[in-house]
Amino acid sequence: MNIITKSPLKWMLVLVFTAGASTLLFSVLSGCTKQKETIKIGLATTLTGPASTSGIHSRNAVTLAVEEINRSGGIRGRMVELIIKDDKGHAEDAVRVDRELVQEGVVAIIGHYLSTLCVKAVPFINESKVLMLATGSTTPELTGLDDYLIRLMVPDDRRTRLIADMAYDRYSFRKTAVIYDLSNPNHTIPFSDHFQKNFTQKGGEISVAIPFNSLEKYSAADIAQNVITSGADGVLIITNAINGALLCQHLRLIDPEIKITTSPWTLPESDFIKNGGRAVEGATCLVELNLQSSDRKTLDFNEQYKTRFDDSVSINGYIAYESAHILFEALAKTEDPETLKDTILQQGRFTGITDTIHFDEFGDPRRPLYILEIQDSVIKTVGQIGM
Amino acid sequence: MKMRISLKKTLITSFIFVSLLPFLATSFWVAQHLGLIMEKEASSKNILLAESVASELDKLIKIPVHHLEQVATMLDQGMIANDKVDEFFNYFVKTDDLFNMIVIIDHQGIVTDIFPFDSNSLGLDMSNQKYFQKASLDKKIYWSKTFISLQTGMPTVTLSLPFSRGVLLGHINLSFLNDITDTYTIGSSGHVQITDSTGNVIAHPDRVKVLERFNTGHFYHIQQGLAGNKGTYPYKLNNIEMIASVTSVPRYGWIVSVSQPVKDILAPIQTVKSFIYSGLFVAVIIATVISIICFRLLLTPLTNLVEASKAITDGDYTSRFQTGSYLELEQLANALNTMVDAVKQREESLQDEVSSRILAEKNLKDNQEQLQAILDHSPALISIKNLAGTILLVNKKFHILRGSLPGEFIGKTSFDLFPKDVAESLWANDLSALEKDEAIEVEEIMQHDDGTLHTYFSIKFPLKDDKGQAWGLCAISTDISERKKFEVENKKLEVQLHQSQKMESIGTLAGGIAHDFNNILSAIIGYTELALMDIDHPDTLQQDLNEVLRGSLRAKELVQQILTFSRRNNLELIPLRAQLIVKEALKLIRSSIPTTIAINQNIDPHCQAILADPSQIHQVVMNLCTNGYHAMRETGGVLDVSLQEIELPAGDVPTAMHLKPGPYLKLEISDTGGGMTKDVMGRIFEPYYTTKEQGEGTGLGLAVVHGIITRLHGHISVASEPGKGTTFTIYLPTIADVQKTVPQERSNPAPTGHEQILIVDDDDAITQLNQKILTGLGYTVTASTHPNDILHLFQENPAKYDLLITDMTMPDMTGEELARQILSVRPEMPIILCTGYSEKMNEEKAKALGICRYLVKPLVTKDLAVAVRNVLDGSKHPPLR
Repeated sequence: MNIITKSPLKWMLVLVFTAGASTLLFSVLSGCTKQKETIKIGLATTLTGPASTSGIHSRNAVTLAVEEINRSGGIRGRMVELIIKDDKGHAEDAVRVDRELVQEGVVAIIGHYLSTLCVKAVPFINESKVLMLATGSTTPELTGLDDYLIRLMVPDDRRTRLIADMAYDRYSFRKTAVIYDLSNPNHTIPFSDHFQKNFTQKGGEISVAIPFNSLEKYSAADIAQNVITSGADGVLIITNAINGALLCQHLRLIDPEIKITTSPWTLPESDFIKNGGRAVEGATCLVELNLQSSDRKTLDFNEQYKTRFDDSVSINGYIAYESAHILFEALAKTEDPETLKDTILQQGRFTGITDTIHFDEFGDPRRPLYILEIQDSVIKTVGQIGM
Repeated sequence: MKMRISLKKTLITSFIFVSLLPFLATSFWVAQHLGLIMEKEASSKNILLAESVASELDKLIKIPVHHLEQVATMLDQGMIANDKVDEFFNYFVKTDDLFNMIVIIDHQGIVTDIFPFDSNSLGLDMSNQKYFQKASLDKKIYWSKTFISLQTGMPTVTLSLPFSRGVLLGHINLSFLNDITDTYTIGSSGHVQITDSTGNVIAHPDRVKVLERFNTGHFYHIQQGLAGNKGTYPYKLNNIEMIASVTSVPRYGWIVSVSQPVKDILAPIQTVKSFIYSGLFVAVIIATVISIICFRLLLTPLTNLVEASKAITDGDYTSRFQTGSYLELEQLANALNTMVDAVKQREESLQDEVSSRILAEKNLKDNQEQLQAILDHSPALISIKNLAGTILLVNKKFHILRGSLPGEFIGKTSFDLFPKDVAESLWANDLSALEKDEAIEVEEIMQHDDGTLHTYFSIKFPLKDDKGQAWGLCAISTDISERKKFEVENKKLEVQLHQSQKMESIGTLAGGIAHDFNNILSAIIGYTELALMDIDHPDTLQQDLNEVLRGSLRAKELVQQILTFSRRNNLELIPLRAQLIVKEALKLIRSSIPTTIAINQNIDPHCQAILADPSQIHQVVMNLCTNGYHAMRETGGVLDVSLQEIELPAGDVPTAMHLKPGPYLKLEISDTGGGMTKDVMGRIFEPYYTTKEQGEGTGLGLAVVHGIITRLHGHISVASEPGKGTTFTIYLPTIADVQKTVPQERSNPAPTGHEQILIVDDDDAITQLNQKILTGLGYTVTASTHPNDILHLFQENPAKYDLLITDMTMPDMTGEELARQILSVRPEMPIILCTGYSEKMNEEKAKALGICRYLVKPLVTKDLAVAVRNVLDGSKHPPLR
């Protein structure tokens, strides 16, 4: 049935519409807007304490990567939100911050840097089924495990074999002392053990193995004296950059000719050269990246980093940056956090900063290692080994 | 149904919005304006604060420089004894809050002294450190980048100062800056932050940011500050809208920023907004209440109008529009009430009309259904055609013609459905009905679907419109093929039956006839003998001969009756006077039944003629009288026979008689016999039903009578009661034309003449008799028993003779042949043909031959004389029978 609608009614309808629109506008202007939900990723690394240098670099690099992806429109239209947690270099804090990140809804965690922390974190991430991309952990303890941990740095069992080869064959180490820092035992002890084993298998001799804890008071001079006294012609230092530099200074004070090689935890950091002075000249190391690459991508990243943080990129920065991009690539393929690991492993190969990274079925990488050597207070890439 | 908006709701909603819209707009404008003002004020205040902090910082940082310069001067000038150096510096580090370590590096970059003492650091090579290189090479004070001290874990900056022994280093713990940032409280969650030249946080109320060396270089306000731009800038921190006022500390490149969440700044606005919302809510309530009250006052009369209109719509015309409110509405109500009255009247008349129409439609529907039922179930073929012969409608029965559904006949003509000859016949009948403009009844032949031809009795009549103009033709055709077949057979059977009846009657009458003839013959013989004896006595002789003649005439009549009765006659309807037939029949009856049964006659001699077959009328009378005789033969009685002419007036004809009004002959035959029961009476006209003994009758008599009367469009009824006799009453329609009728009374004397007459008959006695009679009448007669002789005589002199009287049946030549030959000679020759009884000749045949009269023997003198005279005179008297 039709009822005649007269013009006043229409006028009133217009009025009602206007009033409704005004209210809506008022609401909008009052800030009632909603954005598309962000994708949360976590970064758990050491930001405070003696080992914080690597963590800071990791944070800076991941921050750059996140800013970069968000500038390009995010992942499937969703912005990436980075939640950063400080594990303080302590195992108990590592699990705590991981749990906090999971509770805050991150789809994956980049970190930790220290192997000891990763060893502690793996049971939790396995239980939570949250992918963790380790930026520094190289302990053989986690090699060959079907877990939620994917590592970007070559495990130490392989690395130490290559270091032994390098030291013995390239730098003619014959009698080597090993100094290792018990502040990161899950990394340093297996590292030391594997090196000793591989070096002796090469025909070399381990003159002495000296543990110390950088978190406690120790005498670098005494350690250096012990090394020299053992008759070593070379030394492997497994500690952070500052302590490594300190030990180098003391070793070279006693024996300026002693050959020095370090773990990747030591030499690539800028603090090593700053604090090592001339004492670190000729020191060598095996790392995953060609720090003198002239690749555009590498140079751009270096430039960005320098501009943003007024600092050079460390090895940890590169690894963290690679980790972030691998995670972004996987997130572009799947929205389900539980399938991120399988997505990465199924793809198997990713383009890193300077090389292609291959992952085996356990999430351990196969990638070339580069020989770094400090020449005239500059870290230089002098060769490639492995792969 | 289209969605409707309630006027009430619309008015209330509109009122609310109209009253609130200005309030909303004003509130919005105020909120926006206040927000801008407050942001501006906050900006100014925070910039002042940032500048104040920067100024304070600048002053504070000058202090360690001054201290280190004093120490360097003291060392250069040897104001400190060599053995007191360690003591001095340890005291200095311990007492000076700013420095937590003093290091002396020689010109080679080797650590020579360190306070407090650290064996690990003593002697180390620091030549790679920038702070050494800058101070040593540039010879001026250098501030290093901030870094986290491994010893203190706090942000630290190294101040390097060249002096005579190398470079004097002082590690300044920047934790004192936190005291500054902690001093200021900015709103509820604002803060003061100090960053170094790379954007790293070096002082912040949140220590974690300091310890983690949180880099803020990517924030716009920090970037602006690092670029030397003082001002207030917006940014987001953890998705919280912030504004930060920044200024730099030029000497060191540090940035002081005062940040505050926009929300905090605009907190008063939020309060205002809360007031607005609350006020809005209250205003809505008030506006709603007011509008409801106002509009109820306005709308209640309208609602009353709506309610009244609903009631009226539902048919309650006693409801009235009443508002009792505003003048305009009251006027509207009055107008509506007037309209309702008009509507009511119109509706009532419409109601009547609708009822009538519904009834008419129902009747029409019933009629249509009845008509359809008639069409569907009629055993007859019913069709309607237009004037062009195209079929418009047929009933279902038509499938018998083509095995098709009725619809398949539509649009076709008879020529589409039947062979040409059949179609032409049908079309001719159609045209006949249309031309006559009335109903016609015809028999038509139509071919069935199985190929058989059927006879249909069709009634066809034109269909007319209101103006009487024919627009089509309706035909109703009934298949009478079986009936026709039955009728043919029935007719045959009836003829046989009639013959059987006659034979039965003859059997019955034989005795009486023999008796009559014996009596006649007895009289003739007796008087002839008397005449012979009285030959000499002329008077007595004449009397005797008269008696002989009378007896002979009686015999002639008796023979005539027998011939009439026994003659085969297939329904030859002629106009006849029934009274004569009845009389003849009664004579026959009288002569055949005992005298114990009296016959009373009441015959009206002036009755009009009827159209009938004389023999059948005779048979009817005979049958009924015979039945009466049989009823009375044991006891004797009276047989009453009456014949009267009556008039059946219109409206007074008993329906059961099925007779049209008009003149009728009423024949009543009554007996005084035993009568009949009702059961018997109900069956007496059934064929083969009889109450007679075996051999007395066939049981067909009354059935035949019934059939004859019915066929003559008459009626027969019977009235009887046991013991009171039986009366049969017959009605037969009369006709006006009585050209053909039964013999006239003969009373005039025999006419005479003088012409020449030829007579031939193979019977010599008859030849002589006729010759004597005609000679006696004055004619000149030439007679012979041989027709050839007569023919020769005529041929010799055809003009001599005026008349030929010839017998029909003769051995040498029939009368017919003779007549033909005579006429071939002289066509106008008058000829009278006489016959006793001949199957081969009758009056019509004779006439066709050119014979003037046809006479049946025996001839009476007077009849012969009249006939001769008439022929000779050219008279046209009706022929004698």
